[in-house]
Amino acid sequence: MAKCCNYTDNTSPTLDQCKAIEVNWNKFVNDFFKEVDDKYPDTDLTKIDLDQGSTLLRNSTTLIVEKHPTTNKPMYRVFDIDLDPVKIANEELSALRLKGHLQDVEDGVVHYNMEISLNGERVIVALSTAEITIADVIIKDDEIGDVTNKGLNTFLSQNKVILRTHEGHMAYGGYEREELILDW
Amino acid sequence: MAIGDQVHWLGSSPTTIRPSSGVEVILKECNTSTTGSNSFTYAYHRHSANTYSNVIVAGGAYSAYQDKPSANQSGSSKNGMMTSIPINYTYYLNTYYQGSYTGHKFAGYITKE
Repeated sequence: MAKCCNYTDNTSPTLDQCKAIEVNWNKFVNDFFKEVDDKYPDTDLTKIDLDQGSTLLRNSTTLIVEKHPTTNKPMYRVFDIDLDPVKIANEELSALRLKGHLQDVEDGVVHYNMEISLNGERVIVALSTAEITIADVIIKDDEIGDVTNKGLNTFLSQNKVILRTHEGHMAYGGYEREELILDW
Repeated sequence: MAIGDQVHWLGSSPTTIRPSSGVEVILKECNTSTTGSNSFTYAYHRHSANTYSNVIVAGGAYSAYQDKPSANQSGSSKNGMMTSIPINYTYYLNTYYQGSYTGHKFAGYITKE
């Protein structure tokens, strides 16, 4: 992920604005997938089986990487669900992997600060998110008594939340990373 | 090549660390920390079917085979471990906390993608 330089702060966000972080993320993922899918109409991304792994297509002698004939993107070999080999561009692989990181917007938890991890070839390999429950969570503790983990509603009511929107210069699609800064 | 690349995650809020579909990672470093007298934290495995387990992979908790390091202690605490923890898209990692979470650091190697 590129280092972020500029951001804007909302020092009095509403719950709906905080919950919209997941909605915005899902929109980004779906839009990115559609953009890439439209860019490579010859590939049926729905039939790729990512569990079979991927291999960068590189000549072992010259180390020259095979490129897509029209977009000049590095090509990978993956397999479809019938275990037939398929060649796809690196951004197709990333779009497919991103699609698996859609967030559940109804689970009572707000995931925020989505950060994409890239490998050395700049293909997505993982996603990390921060998260907080909307409601307080009371933890039963026989030793020290019940302990309350404050939920987002409580932080908001105490005006202890900043919604920080970073400029969109992450590697994929210009996603504007949204972060909640909680005063614990 | 990408296999063998290091991946690092650093943060100050409770987190989910999830490799993408088809990617496998071995975590070698798992550190979580809290502050305060009644706080503790740990990392645990989670399943993609939204199943939360009580299987702790790093840090401390009450009922398991590890101690809760910071209960009844004052000041800040840290639970650290150098280990080998496999995670993938289906079996990944969450952090759990009680009290005030202060941060985490996870790192490992990509072993398949």
